[in-house]
Amino acid sequence: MVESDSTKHRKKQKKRVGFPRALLYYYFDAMWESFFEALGAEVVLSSPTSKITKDRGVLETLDDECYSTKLYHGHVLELIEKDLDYIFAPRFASRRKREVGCPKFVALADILKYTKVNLPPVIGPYYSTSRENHGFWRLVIIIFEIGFKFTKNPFRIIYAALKARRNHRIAIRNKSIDEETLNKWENSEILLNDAPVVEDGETPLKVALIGHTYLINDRFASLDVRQKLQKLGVDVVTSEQMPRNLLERQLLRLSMENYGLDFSEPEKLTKKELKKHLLGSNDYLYFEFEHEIVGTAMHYLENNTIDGILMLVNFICGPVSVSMEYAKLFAKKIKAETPMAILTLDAHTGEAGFQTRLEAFSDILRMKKSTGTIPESVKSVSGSIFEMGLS
Amino acid sequence: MESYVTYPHFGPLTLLFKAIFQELEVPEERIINPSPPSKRTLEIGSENSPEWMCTPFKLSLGSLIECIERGANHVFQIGGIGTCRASCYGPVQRVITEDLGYDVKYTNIDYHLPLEMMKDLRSVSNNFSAWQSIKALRKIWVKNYSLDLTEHLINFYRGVEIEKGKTDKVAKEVYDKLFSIRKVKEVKRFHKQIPGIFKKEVQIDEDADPLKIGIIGEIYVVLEPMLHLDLYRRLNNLGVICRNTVSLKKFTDLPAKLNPFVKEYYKIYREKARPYIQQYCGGDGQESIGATILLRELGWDGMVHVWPFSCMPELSAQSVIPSVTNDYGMPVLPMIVDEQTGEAGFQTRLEAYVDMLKIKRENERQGKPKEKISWETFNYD
Repeated sequence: MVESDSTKHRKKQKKRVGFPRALLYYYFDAMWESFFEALGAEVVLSSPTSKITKDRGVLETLDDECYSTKLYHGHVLELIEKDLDYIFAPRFASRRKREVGCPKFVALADILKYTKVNLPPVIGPYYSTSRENHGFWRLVIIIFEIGFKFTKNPFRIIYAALKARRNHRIAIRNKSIDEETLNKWENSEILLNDAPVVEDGETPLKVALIGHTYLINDRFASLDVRQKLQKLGVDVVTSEQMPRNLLERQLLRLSMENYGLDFSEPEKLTKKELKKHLLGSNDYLYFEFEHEIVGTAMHYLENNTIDGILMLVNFICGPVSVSMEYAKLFAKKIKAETPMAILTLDAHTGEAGFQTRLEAFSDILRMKKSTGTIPESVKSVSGSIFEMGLS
Repeated sequence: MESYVTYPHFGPLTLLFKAIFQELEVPEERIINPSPPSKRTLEIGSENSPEWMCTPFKLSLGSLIECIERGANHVFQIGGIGTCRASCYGPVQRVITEDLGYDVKYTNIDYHLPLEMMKDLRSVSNNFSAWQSIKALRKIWVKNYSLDLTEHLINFYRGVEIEKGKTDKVAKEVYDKLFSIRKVKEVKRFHKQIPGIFKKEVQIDEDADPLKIGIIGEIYVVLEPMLHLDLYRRLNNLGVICRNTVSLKKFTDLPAKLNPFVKEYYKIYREKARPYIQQYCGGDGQESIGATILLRELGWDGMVHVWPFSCMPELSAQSVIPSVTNDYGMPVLPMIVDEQTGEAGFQTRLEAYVDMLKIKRENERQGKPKEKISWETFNYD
């Protein structure tokens, strides 16, 4: 009796930290969860996005806010009802010298503070390498600042940080695939996902599914695109799975004269030669989360080893408007043959319209696979790029 | 290949950019100056831009394409590592103009690094040494002070002038004089005379009791008349005096940056904004909030917040501004502009806003006497 009382007491003592299941959570889920759990906190996640989340988020935000931010606000509203001690909304600006995230992430914690009632205290560490030169010591400060809110034992905090780092690395390793596997997949030797539904005698289509991690991994926001593609006989590789070195090569191309098309492997040039062909240090796509989007699109447009590219973008996302343009103009430049579809998702996207467009796109891909070219009648204005709005 | 340099149109500061190349001794015939943007400029720009890109990108692209059509082949545009999309204007516009079939060289200037900026500009100069180019650019930032001052004076005098149109005439004379002076000492001497010139030439109605409205928002929109639809003139015509709260000084004022005892204007704004948006969120988001608070403390009546559709930093600021309004009692009128903004709707909203501010002021005053207005009481620098 006494024991159970004390355990109950201890359980009540466990501080509850809430994570909205949106935006940056999809990139750093393993790190954050293991860090707070090792500190002895109870991690409370908002439930997966649903229609209620969306509706509440849309009502809460300004009209020209991007779709994913609207969903984020919906998730926060759900968390507020869960009796939390803290809510975790980091002011994440950038983690490398020449890269930044989205400017909206920095102000998110403050916006929550001033737009939500009954909001639990926000844990919002600021980290910006590009602007403030933050590095290791800043991380140490952040870790201890957060750690001392939950425990008085500094060794426990260090342990939690190391564990978080380890888990983050493992998660990243598990997410991405190596070049060898990718080659095998491109040669139709293996499948990356569950077997797609295909008719007898047909092989599954290979499509690169490109988009922000927080969009394509959110089943509601992406309208369950993976399931739908699987039913249409499509096997996908996502942009987050792509090997890093392939993406970096394409990024290097982007800041070279004539897209560095004269070199098959520009990263192997010597520094001196590379400098001759670079456009200058100020010509660089610095949005960190766009790298995988532009990189994947350019890689497959150039190599032409898969059947199609499907890009999912959320409405009025700022950085994506840049990467979309890069991908489109690159396709135009090299007269790419791989068809690319760009689908826009927003709060009003209907399921039926989405399904129709996916079917149309997979039909085009099958036509191209059997005849070798896209028939003139279905070609879009810009050739093999199909832009489709959905609302 | 001979290079014909050009740069995008940027409100009144276009004159300044022109002067930069003149000071660097680029031959006159090899500077292609952008003409004031028209509807066509915006149309060309938005036709060739990504659909969701912010409006300043579209306008500057249109302005650049017009210049390229006139023979320019060396563009100066913003680049580097930024926080919001502003710093990728150069790189993206390079790809777009390349796609349109123009052979153009881009020099992307990173405005966060003044020394780098100087190096880039030196590359077009007439074989200037580093010291020579610093001396040349020194004239520019000194002229920038005068340009800012003249802008503030115009927006003050035009609201309370008795003879309509007089301010614009005086302003034109001042601009002409300012950009014909080549010596720094004389520019500095002239700078001190500018308020006197306006005071002497323009008669003002001292009992007009005008409203005082500050303009906050994204720097390009706040300074480019094509995008803010001549907001200042509209407000002035309604009998309001106004003042913008952004300036190019933020990027070019090297002496203030190097001097540890001078506090730059934007840093004051950012400190004021800290309780609301703690960290720099790109663009002028923090400054917008800081300026609102500062001007309220100085007894101003209201703010107009202009920003281009889909601007990320200003959107963050706008999400917080209702709380600032609640806490300080400072009304802020949000105005989103893009290439399709209509003039009539804009005007109606301004008129309604000004009427409401007048009612608010009457209620707050409760019979206290009106103040006599003069430039000295208006200026807070």
